[in-house]
Amino acid sequence: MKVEVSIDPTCKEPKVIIHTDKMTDEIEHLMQSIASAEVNTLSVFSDRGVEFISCGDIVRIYTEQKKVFVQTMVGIYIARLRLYELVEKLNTQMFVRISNAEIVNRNMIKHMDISRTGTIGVELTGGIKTYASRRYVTKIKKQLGI
Amino acid sequence: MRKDILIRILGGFIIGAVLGQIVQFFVSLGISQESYVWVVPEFQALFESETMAIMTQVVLTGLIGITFALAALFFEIARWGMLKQYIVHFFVTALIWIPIVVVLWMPKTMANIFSLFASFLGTYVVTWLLQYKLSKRDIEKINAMLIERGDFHDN
Repeated sequence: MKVEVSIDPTCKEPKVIIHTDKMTDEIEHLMQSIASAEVNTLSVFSDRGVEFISCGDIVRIYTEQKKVFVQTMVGIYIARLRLYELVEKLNTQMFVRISNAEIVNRNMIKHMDISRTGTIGVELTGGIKTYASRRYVTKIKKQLGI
Repeated sequence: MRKDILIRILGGFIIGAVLGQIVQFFVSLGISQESYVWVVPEFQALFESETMAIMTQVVLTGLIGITFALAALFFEIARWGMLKQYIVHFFVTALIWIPIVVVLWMPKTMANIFSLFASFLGTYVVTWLLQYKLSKRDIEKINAMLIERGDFHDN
């Protein structure tokens, strides 16, 4: 089996085509593993180029100066998609929106707090501290099943 | 984001102008003249034609709508916290809508302007307190749930 990658800057979404003369078990397995990789991984940019990260490793995804960043325990990457596109793509069981500019992995939420001036803090795994908007707090609560 | 702002500006203008006309309807009832009063006489006096006065009123009330539609974005700045969000929202909107309302409708006494300001401020204080209490309760529930989940994972 030959594997080939063609780089096309106009290509919006990667597409895998398998050329074959007949459907075999091998081809079927290949299709399944490609499809499942798509659901659980996200392609991101780092200074080393394009990388694939597992969605379960993502701590948070946030917008800053019109760029979308993906933070894991290991590092911070730049996403290829806009935040709203990621919201549609990612598993809603795993990710929860905490403000207009940010979504976090709900399994990574350690603790939340509210300061006297009403700043709503969210403490994530790895000592990452971020903030939630008031109007998303109720949604977070609902999504956690309270 | 740019599209969102344009929608806010357009929607804000329409809602502001419509609400302005509803207020004008009740003001007209209050003045109780024989025919409908499109603008109050004091405001009319500033213009040569009634059409100009009405158009200016629509534009000004639309401007109030735009201000509130855009100022709502302050509440999206999570880092600020609710106190700063409310204070900035209060002053930015008050700076626009109080002068406009005073020019358009209010009898020009200081007491009236003050009561307008005070009732506006009162609304903010009450809303802030409620939102703070609700948030605090929500966060306590979320934390209780997170601790439970943590225990579950440890076992």
